[in-house]
Amino acid sequence: MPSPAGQTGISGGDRPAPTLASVTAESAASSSHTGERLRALSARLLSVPERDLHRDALLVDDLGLDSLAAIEWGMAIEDEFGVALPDDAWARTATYGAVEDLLATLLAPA
Amino acid sequence: MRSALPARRVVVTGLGVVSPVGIGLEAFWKGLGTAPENLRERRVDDFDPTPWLSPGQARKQDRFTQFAIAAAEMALECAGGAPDVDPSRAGVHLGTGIGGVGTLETQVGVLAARGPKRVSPFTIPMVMPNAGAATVSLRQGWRGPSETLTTACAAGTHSIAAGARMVADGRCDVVLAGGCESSMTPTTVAAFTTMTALSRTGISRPFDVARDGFCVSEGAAVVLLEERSSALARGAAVLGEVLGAASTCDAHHTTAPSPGGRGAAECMRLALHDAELAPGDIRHVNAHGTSTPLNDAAEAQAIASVFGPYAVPVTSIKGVTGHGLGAAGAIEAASVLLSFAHHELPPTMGTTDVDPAFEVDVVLEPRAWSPGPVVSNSFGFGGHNGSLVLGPP
Repeated sequence: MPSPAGQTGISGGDRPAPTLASVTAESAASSSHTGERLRALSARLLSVPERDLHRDALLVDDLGLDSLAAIEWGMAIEDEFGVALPDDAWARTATYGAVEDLLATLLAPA
Repeated sequence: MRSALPARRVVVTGLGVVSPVGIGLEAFWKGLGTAPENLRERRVDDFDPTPWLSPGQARKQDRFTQFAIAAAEMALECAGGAPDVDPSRAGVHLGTGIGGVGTLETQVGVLAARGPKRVSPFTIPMVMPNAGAATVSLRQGWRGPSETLTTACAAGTHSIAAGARMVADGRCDVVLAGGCESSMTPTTVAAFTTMTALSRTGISRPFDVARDGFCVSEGAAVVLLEERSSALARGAAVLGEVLGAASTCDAHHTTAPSPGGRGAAECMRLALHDAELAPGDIRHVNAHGTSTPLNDAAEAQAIASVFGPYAVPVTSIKGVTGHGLGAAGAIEAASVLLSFAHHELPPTMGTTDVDPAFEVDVVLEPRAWSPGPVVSNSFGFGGHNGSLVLGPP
């Protein structure tokens, strides 16, 4: 679909030009959206209900993660969010909250 | 079955089947007498792993292992639940022709499209041919031998024989044994096609004069084998007995049978010797009968040479099941065990005009039958021959 003249980028259409306030609001929404996406992806890959994915949940003892499942989960997070999980940081995470924090760090603007 | 130790007889007390003609014993038996669609590829279309595996568990098992789990757990259910046994004396022996090639083929696609860092870390444990046996042992907590042999299309028969020997030799008190296969990928089907093994017409018609190749299929069958006296002591219902078995190799050609079915005949004679039976004691042959020109000619000659012309009724259920490769021998053993229960021989579906060159009584319609010892044959690429002698309870 052709973009109206004078507009570029993927948002296009009839959306108003972004303001500082709208960018901030979008960022907060996108952070919560990140949490939801991670939760849905993790529930599917770890075969656990989303309600079990609370911040203190222990990956091995509570969520049943084993070494191969951890690798597969890491791949899926990298694909979903376009990040590269550093091997050592990924290996050190012990709780679901630590995974959320690691992802937030990787997604934060440099 | 003979053993160096004091004889321990091996009986079948449970049976589970996953096949394109039916899942479970009743559906399978009914399917053996139902005319199939003419398809070169005969899949278990209605297989749903969720009675046995959660979606998360199923995702980490290749389809051939899912079939193995389903058949093994149906066999235990048929036996009234897992017998109360010493887990260190409980074993598993499951054959397969190709193993998890479907998973491998999927991951080859991932490698090509997305690179090596996206190949699933579960690939190896899903592809390995012993995944079926390993997973069945794991789920039961059985710590005795858990083995897989792979002799192409003879694997299911060889695994039941090997499992029975683990009981006969005194190593195990119970063994789940059989075959499992799900290897109908685009590549394997193409390869069977280019080697002209598959039927062009999609009609599997074993021993028919117009036979033109096999119809490839998939599935699994598992028997629960037990030492006879302990099975009887716990009041188990006995479905049949493993009376003997033999294994030979043609050492002639990778894919063509030895002339005159010499290798097959020798295998059947050795199995009869192992069972301490004479050819005249055998009341039925469940043939390998793939519907390929060469196999059926060699096997027909072998059967006529061992038992005499037209001396014993012969069925190949592959007319309806298609060829389940490494599962075939186990699925055919299931058919024999059900023949004992139903006092009936299933027909060779698809066949209308038996090749006049064959001096064999091919069963073309369901036939009322008084159960007696049966020889069940399987032959595999590589020249592998396997014959089981099964007896009624």
